Amino acid sequence: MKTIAISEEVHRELVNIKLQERERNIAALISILVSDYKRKKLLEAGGLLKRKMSEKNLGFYDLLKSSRKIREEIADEWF
Amino acid sequence: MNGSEIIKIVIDTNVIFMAVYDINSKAGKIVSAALENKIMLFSTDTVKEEITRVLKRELNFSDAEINTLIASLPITWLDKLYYHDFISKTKVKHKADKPVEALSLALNCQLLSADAHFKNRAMVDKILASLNN
Repeated sequence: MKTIAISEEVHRELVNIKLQERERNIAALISILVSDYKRKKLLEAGGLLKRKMSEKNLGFYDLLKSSRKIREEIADEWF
Repeated sequence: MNGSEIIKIVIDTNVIFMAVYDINSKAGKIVSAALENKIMLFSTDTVKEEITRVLKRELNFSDAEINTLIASLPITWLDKLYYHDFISKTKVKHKADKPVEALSLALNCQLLSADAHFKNRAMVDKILASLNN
């Protein structure tokens, strides 16, 4: 177990959210918040991927096809 | 699965792209399970390099954008040192696919790929069902 220092205000906010969400403790709540943050980052990455694919007029199948070609190229270079 | 065991899976490029493209897809659900620490995902340095080159070359991602995307993935990347000794034990015929299978052998865990070259790949539905049990 590790301890982190947080302000009174952040502590109060966390306790309020813990009560609202009926989480068993702050550690469980923070785990959920971390997962949500990571999911948000992944969703943003997905949004960027789709935008770039649309700009390039590249379909998902085309992306996988290019990926396959690049895989062969890496294998030739690395092995 | 008992409560103390966490499923370990080696994940291939195509499944990673599917998950990033659509977090609500089956592949996305696998990655979401890893975000929630319900399973552990691993992949090879070759897969990471493949993703990097595809994003850069085909989609003009900047280095910073590539780093952000890769950092958003709940995957532990392992290099050749971890799987090199298992390359000769792989069954897949294509040289390019060997590192991924070798890593699954090295870690003694399932391999998740959409590529039919892998005869022993895990079934995504089975994994998702085991997570719901």
